[in-house]
Amino acid sequence: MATLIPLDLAAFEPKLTHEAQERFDRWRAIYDDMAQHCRQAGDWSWAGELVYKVASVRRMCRKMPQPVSLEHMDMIIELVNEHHRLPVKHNPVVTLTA
Amino acid sequence: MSKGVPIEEYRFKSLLDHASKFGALMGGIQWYGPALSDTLPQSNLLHGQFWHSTADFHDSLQEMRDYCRKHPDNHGLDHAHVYALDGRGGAMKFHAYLWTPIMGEAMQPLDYGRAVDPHNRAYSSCILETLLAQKKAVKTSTVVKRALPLALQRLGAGVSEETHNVLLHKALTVMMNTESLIYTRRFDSDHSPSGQFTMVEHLGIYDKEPTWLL
Repeated sequence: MATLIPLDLAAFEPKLTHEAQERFDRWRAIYDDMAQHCRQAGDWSWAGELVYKVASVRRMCRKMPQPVSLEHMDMIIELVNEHHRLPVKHNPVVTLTA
Repeated sequence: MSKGVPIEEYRFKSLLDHASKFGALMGGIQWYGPALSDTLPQSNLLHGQFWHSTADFHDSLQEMRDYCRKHPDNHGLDHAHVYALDGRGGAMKFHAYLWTPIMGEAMQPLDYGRAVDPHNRAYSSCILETLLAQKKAVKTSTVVKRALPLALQRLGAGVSEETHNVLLHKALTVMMNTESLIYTRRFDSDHSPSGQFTMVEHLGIYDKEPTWLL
């Protein structure tokens, strides 16, 4: 068996308050769903765009006072919705499945 | 990842140059699906993405791990290659890892330090072996000098040392210009007839310590 190096994913996770976490989960559910459908349809790069949008919320959370409050989370999500527009995709299969 | 650009080998050289020029840490993940043919494990590239900080990398991997956990039976991912190009502190380092959904919160270092010349060219394999035995960058002439005994031993018959030297130099030049992991830097020097000398190293010799993860 080859040697494995452990990863500490939790250490890089931004801290969120309970309400902020709920808000985040609610917001991201649709993107997770779309990403899953895109992957099933074979379009992994489009799923990558969606995941990038979700991850940009996390990236902004790291720069906020920890743990991130609900007000900050609302602000971040509003900003991401406004500025991270997903480019138009001309793929009828993905448009139908997502 | 802001553009859906797959990482391809011909882009690799420019990524290395970028990381070294800006003294930055960056890298990429290539997601692979089940192989299309048994002999070609990398034949089904699904997507490639860049990351520009350690936190970014953890985010990307965590998202994919969560996705694989949610859909254990039909996630469609076979394995992922992780590359890290670390140009911080003025020295280039390269790391490569393999990750599969089963590994979860761990990944397996790929030992590029034991690479072999895929084309099995006579002089190039001597050069590659010499480069992989180094601990740090050395002058190109030193590499040739160290590769000479190998060449004499393997290809020695009936040819003078000068011929071996010329052919080794040629093989080294070709590899410097074609192999993305062979990294060179030029320095000015008054002692060299051409006014410069070139330091060369194989970046695979550094992938022992994953310091970029901290």
